[in-house]
Amino acid sequence: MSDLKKMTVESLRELARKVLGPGHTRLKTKSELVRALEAAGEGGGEGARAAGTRARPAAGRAAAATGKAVRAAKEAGKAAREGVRAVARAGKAAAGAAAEGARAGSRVAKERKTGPIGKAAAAAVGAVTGVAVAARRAREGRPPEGLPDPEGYFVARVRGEEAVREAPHVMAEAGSDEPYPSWAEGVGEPVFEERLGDLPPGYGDDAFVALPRDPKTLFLYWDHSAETVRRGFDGLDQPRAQLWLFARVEHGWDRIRTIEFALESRGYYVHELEPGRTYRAEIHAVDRHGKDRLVASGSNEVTLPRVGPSPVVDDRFIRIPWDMPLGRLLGPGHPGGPFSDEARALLERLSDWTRFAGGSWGGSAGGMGGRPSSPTASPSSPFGWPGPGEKR
Amino acid sequence: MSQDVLGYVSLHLHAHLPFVRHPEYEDFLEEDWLYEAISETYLPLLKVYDRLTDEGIPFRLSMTMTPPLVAMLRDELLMSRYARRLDSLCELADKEVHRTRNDGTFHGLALHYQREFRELRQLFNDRYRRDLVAAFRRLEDAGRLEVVTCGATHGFLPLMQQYPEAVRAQIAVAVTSHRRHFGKDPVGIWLPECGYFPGLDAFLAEQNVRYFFVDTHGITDATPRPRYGVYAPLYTQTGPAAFGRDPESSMQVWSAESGYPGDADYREFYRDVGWDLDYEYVKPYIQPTGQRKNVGIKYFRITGKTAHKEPYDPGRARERAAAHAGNFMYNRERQIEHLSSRMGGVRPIVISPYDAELYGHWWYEGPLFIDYLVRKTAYDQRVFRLATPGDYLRENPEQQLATPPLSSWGAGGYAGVWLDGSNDWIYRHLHKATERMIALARDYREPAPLEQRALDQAARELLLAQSSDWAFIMKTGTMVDYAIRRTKEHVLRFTRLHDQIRSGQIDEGWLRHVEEKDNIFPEIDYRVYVPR
Repeated sequence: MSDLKKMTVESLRELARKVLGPGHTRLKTKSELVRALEAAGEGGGEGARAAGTRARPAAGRAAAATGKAVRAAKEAGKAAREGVRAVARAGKAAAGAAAEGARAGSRVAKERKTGPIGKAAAAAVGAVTGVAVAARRAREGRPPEGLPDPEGYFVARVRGEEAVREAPHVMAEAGSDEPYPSWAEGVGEPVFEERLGDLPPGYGDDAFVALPRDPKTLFLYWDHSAETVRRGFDGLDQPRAQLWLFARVEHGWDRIRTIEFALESRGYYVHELEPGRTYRAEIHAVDRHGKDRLVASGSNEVTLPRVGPSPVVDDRFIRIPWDMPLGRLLGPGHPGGPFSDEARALLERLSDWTRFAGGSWGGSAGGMGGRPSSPTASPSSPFGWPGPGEKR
Repeated sequence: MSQDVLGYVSLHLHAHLPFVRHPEYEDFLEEDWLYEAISETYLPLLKVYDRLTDEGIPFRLSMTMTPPLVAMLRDELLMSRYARRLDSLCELADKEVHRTRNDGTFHGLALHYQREFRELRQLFNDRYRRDLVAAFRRLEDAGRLEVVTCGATHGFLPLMQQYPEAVRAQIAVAVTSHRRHFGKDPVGIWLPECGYFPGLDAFLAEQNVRYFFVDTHGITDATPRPRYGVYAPLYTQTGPAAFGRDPESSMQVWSAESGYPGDADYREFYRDVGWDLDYEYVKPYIQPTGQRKNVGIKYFRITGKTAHKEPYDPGRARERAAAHAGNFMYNRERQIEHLSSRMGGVRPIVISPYDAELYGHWWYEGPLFIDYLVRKTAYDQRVFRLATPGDYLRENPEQQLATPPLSSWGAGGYAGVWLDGSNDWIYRHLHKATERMIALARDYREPAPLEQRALDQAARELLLAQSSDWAFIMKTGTMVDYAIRRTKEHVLRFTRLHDQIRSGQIDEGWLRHVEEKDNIFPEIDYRVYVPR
């Protein structure tokens, strides 16, 4: 472990990026980096060590590291005007973080297949940074910082994502897969320890699912068992994985894309599709001679939304009395009376957000800010929108 | 009926918060969302609505009360915690009155907050007896409000469309919950995030839900092409009507640049004494961790776009709210006159939906704006009438038939907010849990009492995991760890319940703990997931 102390901060950061993942940016000082890497069991070339043998010492080291920090916090806290309460808080933070580290470590030992480095590392980062920050702030008699203001939830809803970034207080946190420090959220000890563990990375149930994201984008995810993959690829000469994308045509399906991809990615966004069409996908193993084999079964079918006014103009109206129960398909309705194209076009333009292009809108997630404009959009408006000062 | 006006304006407030309840802790950070929304939005809105009703001012507004919000507002633990929070706020206001006693600039404001918080406390404890749901229900019974429901846990329905049982459960459980709390079936629904996909109307029709809302392009991009744009609803194939958001009136309030809430005289959201005052002084009122937060006392107005802020003047702000209400009304008059002249005798409806929490919490003067708008609309014009979508359909039962496209009111207009690199990992888990829940419902037709409890709880956990708020928070990067944790916890609890049911080894002690913790929908019946 002493090797780590001889490394430069830059090298430590690079190592932390590789070993600890997203949470590494929270480690600010050399000693924090060293402690976190030590806690993750990273002393130089040990990456291949089995999870079980690593996780237990890692958890132990995390706990030891946090213990030291707690003591440091207590000593510093005594000297600071903040006094006993801040120290207790720091101690509680440290204890919480250490416990979390230990729990994560033991989980790793039990779940060797679920990424031991990531979990132990995340716990280690959480433990070290949580304690270090709390201790430092306790020494300085200042409140903890860096956790996002919960107001961010409201600001994001009513003002949009951009407003969260522009707020004067920290309202966003870096997304990471590490546990949230419980000391920052709840007061008191939970009365029941559920020991729920963590989600599995997958279920190996050969799911292959297509989801509609927007008019031009599909998201695909798959979850093949090892046996399915073996059956798909066995016996092929240097096979590679291909994603075949099909679009519905009048009497069947057209293969419209063939995409080379990494099967291990387990998810893929297919962009720049034609809106309004129905798609499905298949995964194939293809060898160097072009021979291919379907891996498991194809995805579900999914229709992407169309964009812009429909080319179908067929005004049919129906009367539904308020007290008539719903629940069955309605009839075809009756044709509407004559209606001028001019009036229809005008009402269409008035209904178009792009008249107000350039603004950012509310709505649960920002409203219409980024929606692709309608092909028939027009900025014209027959009546202006007088501002408050212009009324009458 | 109503031939006296040229058209209608429908103001809809969507009140929603995710289900956040942590009895396992004495105090929990994210529960603040509820407490802040009660103090700054729900109580002020009730105050306005009740005052208008007491004074006999006619009005009709619609409002979503989502099932998670209703469950929290009816939860004894959360309401007792809120009552303590309100006491604490009153205590801080008293201290502020004392602290500013020699300060000519801020003393009046301190007294303003002291009066306001004392009034909120009186309303909450005495007038509403800690039951705000009953207060909203009374307004509905009095013919002032049309309260509609939402997805059971605000699950984004377009991303669960391959599981009809999951979509049905989100709607059916919500309708049952609404019936229990409001004593009647909901006539309408706010689809979570306005998320619609073709075919969803059939699930609404099953529950006799007469209408729903979509964003503007949900109407303009419908097939066949709508005749009247967003100014008349469309009937879907099974009967529920789709109402579309009007861009113009929405923009007057929502726009970050030119919307009313950005007026220089309105209260500045961020300048709160929780951040501004001496740390030791405010420490008892901020987060238990010692981290600063908004406490609700704010002394400055927006002033301008720089950091320089002038003191807030409630009188001036009130005048601006009145002016903005007049402006909003004036613009709707002109808008409806124009639309009416082009719609061949059909009376237009302008749908103006907003997150309820915009009013009061973000835009402090928002409830006042509504107060003035209602009064002015009732007495100062004859062009339009405030009406709910239900009123419109009752009076105008003949409408065009069309199918809206998949759409939402989120950024981009589709599913991009809830399906993104930051949150797409959740779907394989949600879908797997959904498949398992459907299989459980299919396989356990006559469960033993303990099995029934476990099956019902499994349904609750799945519904809670599906809340669109978690994916939204992951995308917007706010309380990401909490959202991840909630998603995982509910899926993990579901999975454990599933495994215990399947193995016949239900841990009753743990089940009881989970039932007490995630106690939403006590009336739920897991059979809502039985495949049809």
